[in-house]
Amino acid sequence: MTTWQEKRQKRFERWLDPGVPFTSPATKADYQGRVQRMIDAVELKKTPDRVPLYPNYTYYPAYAMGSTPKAVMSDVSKAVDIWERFVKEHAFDAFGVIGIIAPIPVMEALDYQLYAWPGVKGVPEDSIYRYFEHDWLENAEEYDDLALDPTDWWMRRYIPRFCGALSGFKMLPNFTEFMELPNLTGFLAPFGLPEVQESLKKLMKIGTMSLEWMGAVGRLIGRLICDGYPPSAGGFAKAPFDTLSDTFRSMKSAMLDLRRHGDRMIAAMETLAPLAVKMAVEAIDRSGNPLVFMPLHKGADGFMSQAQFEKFYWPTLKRVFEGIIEAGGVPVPFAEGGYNQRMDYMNELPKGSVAWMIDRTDMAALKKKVGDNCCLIGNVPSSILHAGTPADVDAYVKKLMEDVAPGGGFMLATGTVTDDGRPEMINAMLAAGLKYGKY
Amino acid sequence: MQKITTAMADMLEDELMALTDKYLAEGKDPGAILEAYQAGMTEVGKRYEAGEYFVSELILAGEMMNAGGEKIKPFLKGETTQGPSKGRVLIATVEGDIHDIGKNIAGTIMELAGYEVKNLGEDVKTSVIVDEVKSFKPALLGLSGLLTLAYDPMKAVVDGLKEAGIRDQVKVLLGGSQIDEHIVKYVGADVFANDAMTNVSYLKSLA
Repeated sequence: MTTWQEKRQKRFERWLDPGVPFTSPATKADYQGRVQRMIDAVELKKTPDRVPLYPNYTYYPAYAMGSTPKAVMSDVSKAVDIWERFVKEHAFDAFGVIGIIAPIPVMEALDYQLYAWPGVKGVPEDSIYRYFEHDWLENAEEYDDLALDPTDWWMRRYIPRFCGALSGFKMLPNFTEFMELPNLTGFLAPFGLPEVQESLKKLMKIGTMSLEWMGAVGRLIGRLICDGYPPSAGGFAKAPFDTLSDTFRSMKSAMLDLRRHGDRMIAAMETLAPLAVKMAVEAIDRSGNPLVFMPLHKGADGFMSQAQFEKFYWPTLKRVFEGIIEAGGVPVPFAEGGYNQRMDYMNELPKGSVAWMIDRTDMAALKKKVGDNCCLIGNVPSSILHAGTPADVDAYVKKLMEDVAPGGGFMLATGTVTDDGRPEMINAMLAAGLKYGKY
Repeated sequence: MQKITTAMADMLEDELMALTDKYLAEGKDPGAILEAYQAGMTEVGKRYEAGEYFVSELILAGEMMNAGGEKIKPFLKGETTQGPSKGRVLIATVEGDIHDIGKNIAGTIMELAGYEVKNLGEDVKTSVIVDEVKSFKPALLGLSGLLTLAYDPMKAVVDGLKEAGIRDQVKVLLGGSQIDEHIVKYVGADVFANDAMTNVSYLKSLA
């Protein structure tokens, strides 16, 4: 039987040698140097040649290159041009995943209710997108429907609620009824309904728009790899509790459910955990990059008691980690906020299997506690990047390197996601990383 | 009435509602029932302070208080059980940011500690906050924001207070997980809090 380490080794080999026509031997060497640096940091087997500089930004490249989020969300050629120049002008060892640059025309056509974008629903013209938590469930009993048949719940309940253009999906038939003669016309007839047909027509148009956008982004990623720059991750997954709380139910309702409908929630999360693994593994299969970015939200210090974390948050999150690890992938959870009370859990996964992105957790304490077991990524605070001077950034990075870099297993990054930002400060962080990060 | 207080403090929602219906039907003093609710809320605040309760309990306690209040209100006939306020607090999430969870928890905890809290909501314009400081005259202004995009609007509020000549009449507290001493200095605020209990201990220190 193949072990997870053997599967991962295969993925690392494919990541190092993705079979693309590199622009030159030098760009191939650059690419492989960057990837090897990240592999060394993750594996904890040896120190890399220097501390990798890991990206943690969304729309920072737009601001840094003198554009705006709205401009890059409106025009893919502009987005591609800006990202290409930004990546080549900055010393990060990987580039931030451009998938977060969502096209405004697609979101408009979809009548997408989950987000607002610059210029609509109170979002300033020069801002980034805004996410709205909303309780999309009619009642807690829907957790049972989700647990029974998640795809059906998604397609006929959730999607028509958050996508105005797909409201006709609520009249779709149940797909598992499509078999044998007695159900034939009963299953097919709903596709003749005007509301369903209208939604399907809109979806075809939106699909074409998305394919064009994805094509341009995909070609950019291919070009950047050929020019020596690896993407920062190849897959995405969420903690099942966050899917319930952020995505389906809203913080308030989910927090009430903890006490009112705990068993229902757990059953729904047990359904979601293998789906999260499947989504992540299919993505790293396609992309060839084994890192799986996992933004964590409601498990941070202060949101839940330790007992609630242990009962509701950790078990299914751990299952997602284990599923990804078992498939040879590398979970890269982003512990946004503080995780000072959750450190012990990080040692429950196999050595060198997970790389944690850290925001407001005490890095020196964390290194002592889990540094022998997992790679740490972080954590230059947004406060210093915003309100400090380049010398402050230099001093922070120097101290961070002294505390966390020894022995390897560390990548330098901003603590929080950089949206806007002062270029001289981000550049100071990168310069300090190169200066103090050599082994 | 102790049963009401205990049911509230122990998060026994169904029992609390049943007891409330029963006591009201039996003609018990509605003011006393409401006081028992408030005693339960105070106990919830204490348990939060002790780290025993978290966000879910605060939200559920708020829901129980509202549901119970709706039942009791028709029986009250204009009586009030509101105790004297220890002082006024104004809270708002600054312009450009819509995060409300931390701010609302902080507001709840300060109310439970006996302060009169006015919550202006989210994405509140600088001029609205400054005007409200002028008219409401709070001892403490709490500015909340989760996004790094909130730093500059927070600074604009403090600058607005200075321009209006009232900066020295109110203490300014910043709340949010990305707030620390660097941002306090940048904004020109007095103090920051990353958790709701810090607000209360700061308010006590002002007295």
